[in-house]
Amino acid sequence: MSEEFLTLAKLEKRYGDAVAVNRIDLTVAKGEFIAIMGPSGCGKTTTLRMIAGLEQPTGGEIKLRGRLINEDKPWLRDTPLVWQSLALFPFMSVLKNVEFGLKMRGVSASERRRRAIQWLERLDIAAFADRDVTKLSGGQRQRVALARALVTEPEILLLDEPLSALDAHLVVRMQAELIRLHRELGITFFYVTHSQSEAFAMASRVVIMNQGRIEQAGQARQVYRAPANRFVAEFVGTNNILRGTVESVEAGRARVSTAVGLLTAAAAQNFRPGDTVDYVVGADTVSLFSPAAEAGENRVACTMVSEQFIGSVVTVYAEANGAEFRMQKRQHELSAAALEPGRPLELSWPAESAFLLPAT
Amino acid sequence: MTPGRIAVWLLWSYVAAVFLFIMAPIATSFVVSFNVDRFPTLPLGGFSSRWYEEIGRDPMLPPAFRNTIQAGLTVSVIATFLGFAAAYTDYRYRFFGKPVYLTLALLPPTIPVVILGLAMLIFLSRIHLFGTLAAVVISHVVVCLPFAMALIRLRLSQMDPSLEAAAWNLGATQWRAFREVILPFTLPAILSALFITMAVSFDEYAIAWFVSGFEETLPVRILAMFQGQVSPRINAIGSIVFTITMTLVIMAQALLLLRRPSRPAPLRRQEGVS
Amino acid sequence: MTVRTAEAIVERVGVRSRVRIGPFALFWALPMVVWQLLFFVAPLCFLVVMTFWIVQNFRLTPAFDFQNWREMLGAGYFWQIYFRTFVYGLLAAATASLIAFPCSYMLAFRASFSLRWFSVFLLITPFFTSYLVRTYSWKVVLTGNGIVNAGLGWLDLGPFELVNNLFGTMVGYLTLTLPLVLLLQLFSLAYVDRNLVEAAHNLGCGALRTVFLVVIPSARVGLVLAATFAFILSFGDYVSPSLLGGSKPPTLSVLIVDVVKSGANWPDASVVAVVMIVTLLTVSFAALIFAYGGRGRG
Repeated sequence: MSEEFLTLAKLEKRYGDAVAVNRIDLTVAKGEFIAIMGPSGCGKTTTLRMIAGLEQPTGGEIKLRGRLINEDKPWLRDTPLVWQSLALFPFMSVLKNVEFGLKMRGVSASERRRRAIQWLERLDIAAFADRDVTKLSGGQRQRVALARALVTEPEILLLDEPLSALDAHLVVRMQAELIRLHRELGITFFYVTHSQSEAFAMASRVVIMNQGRIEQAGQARQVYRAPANRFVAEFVGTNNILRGTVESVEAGRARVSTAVGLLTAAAAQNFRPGDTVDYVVGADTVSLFSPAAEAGENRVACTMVSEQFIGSVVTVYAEANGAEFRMQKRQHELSAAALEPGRPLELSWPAESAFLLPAT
Repeated sequence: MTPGRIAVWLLWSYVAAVFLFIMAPIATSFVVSFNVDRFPTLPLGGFSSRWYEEIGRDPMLPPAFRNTIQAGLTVSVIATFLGFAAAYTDYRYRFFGKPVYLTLALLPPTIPVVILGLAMLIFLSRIHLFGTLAAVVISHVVVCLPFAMALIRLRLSQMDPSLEAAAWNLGATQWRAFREVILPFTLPAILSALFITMAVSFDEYAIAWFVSGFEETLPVRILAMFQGQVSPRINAIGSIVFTITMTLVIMAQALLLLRRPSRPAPLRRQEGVS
Repeated sequence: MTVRTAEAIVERVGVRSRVRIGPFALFWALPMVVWQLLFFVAPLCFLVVMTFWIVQNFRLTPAFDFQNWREMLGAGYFWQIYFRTFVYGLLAAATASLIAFPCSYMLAFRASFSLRWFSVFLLITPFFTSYLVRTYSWKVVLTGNGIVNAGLGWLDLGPFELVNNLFGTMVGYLTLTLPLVLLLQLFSLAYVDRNLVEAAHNLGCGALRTVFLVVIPSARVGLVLAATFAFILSFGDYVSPSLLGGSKPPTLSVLIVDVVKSGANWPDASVVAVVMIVTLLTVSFAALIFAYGGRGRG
């Protein structure tokens, strides 16, 4: 990959006894689109603010282009932020908002006007140049915020949950917009969010944070398919997780005894009989058992509890022996079966879909 | 009409009566000042502007009026600056002892003016400032700055807290961000504060009485006129004073109501952790 | 060692950062402190010091003497004036609170949003106008042959003694305190949880009972605050007792002004002032405890 652009080394932020960011290490390459995800309070926003210079680290280093920037004041760093609340200046027009960064750098009035308008055109809002920012729609304001941050042509763009205030359909549009911009500009995007769908839709690399620590960092697909620990498995995607004990391991496959019976998982060569493990199988790899279809060796008899529809995806909630099971399928795949709450179901999946995590 | 409706009707009449009581002295002062009788009674005498003519001839009034205006202008500028500084400090910084800091700024209105007046008299005499307009200005600033601070702090709380940081983030130093963001946003409140502090100083009689000596302000002159005969001349001056103060206060209120806050709307319900 | 995350705290507190204390911070933080210490705290402290100085041979001499305290606190007339002023203050606070309450109640609960804000606007304006002139206005209107008595005369009532007595003084105190008390009561009543009121009605509590059992306890802090301010203002007021009350019998502020006017015995006046301050601090403290004390809130 390209050279190191942003490095966080043992970065720490503590407030008295409480630690918001607990000595994390992260390297971001030039031009990367990296998303930091995690529940509220995990430290992702604090990390972002430290990079921007709005919080002082209590330990560790932040290096930009190899240079230590811990002591740099926020206005001396070139790390523009797209804020969660957008933070547009209400007493300025759209144009004046976008020109702001250039004005601070002493660019002449005509030059900054020219460059600002260029960006407005690029983001398709040139028609609103003289409009009062408070009179724009959510999507338009979002673009103004982007233009304002990018007008100084920085090498890195920081984004703090910028889409969280938008309507759902606008979110999808803006995501596409951001992907396009990233591709065209080739700069580093450092994107903080609590939304999985945003992170996985846009970022090439994803970092999961929890309680100030990085739980896992890696390619989006990898994190999705191979969570490193229980927290990530619970946080990312829709996984069924059952605590169990390894009964036997043969040719890399383990048989695990769980609350719903004996289940098989593949890729279990590192485990020994007697180990306590978390048995994980993705809800989208679970299917209704059908003798005709290609069956997996794992079968569980459950009772259907409910279904949830999000777009074309159906999540079926079932219950077996007190354990909750989830199956995710496209609507058209399930319409044949008549699913009713209380009806018995048999769910099944191949051993290859399941894997084990050591129980902590 | 049910008893409930009668009760409600009575209560609203009561509300009107209370407001009438509050407004009455202002209204009657105007009426009396234009009434030809020296001792107004019912039925009212005819219209006359003689009292205004008389105060126009009073030689002690113009200097007092000038003093009041001079002091008022100076007080409003200083008090607004100090109030602003305190409000901004409260808004921006967290530090140990902040409650004490805020108490220092907001306590003066809770101390009776006679006591403050006495204290200022004694203190300023020791530093040879008694009997000067400076004494009035200094004392009034103490009393007026809480108003300025409260007004500006209120306005600051309406600001999106990220605005200032956004300016820094885009390359503005603290001073620059202050000039480009804080100042434009708080301008209506600053103007309001200037008007209100001027109004407060304008009407302040007690402390001025203690410290102004021969540099009388208008309220002090009015107080002195109380010792003499009852006369509608006082109402005439009073009406002028009312007009000036009410104009200032109405303008101040208008300024505050015209600007809308910039705080972002509450965020939409967030996607839960799945 | 358990590790708690603090990001939640940061996110709640907002984005204000703790930039280190530099010239910018000091420029903004210091001016008010310096001014208030010099011209507010120092004079008040000096006032206390002054109570120990003595007037020897018509000259003010620094000393540490309790003579003034003994003289003043030992004087019968002082305590008469003190208790009178205290009672007047209580009377004013109670009267203002009671008169204001039905009015603020109606405005908070029964008025439309715009009516409420219009009345706030109407209350703020007189609050800032000259209290001196308003009190004088009342004097003119309330005298023996004044407008009020003349009007009552048409109804074959009176004439009544409306000035130079307690009634006059009370009218003055109300003029001073009513706008502020109304505003404070209005704000605290406006924030009473409407759900509580509805719940009470739902459970069969009549309107009047709800007021006493639900509304007043909920708005307790604001109501007590309003009454306390009314007390503080009236306790320290000079104009109403002198202009509308006839100065006889005097209150503490009238006493201070008299002492200063005749011979400028500052130490004596200072003693009165300090006693007043201590009284007000004690009353405010007690009021705060009363306001916030008791079993939980509303």
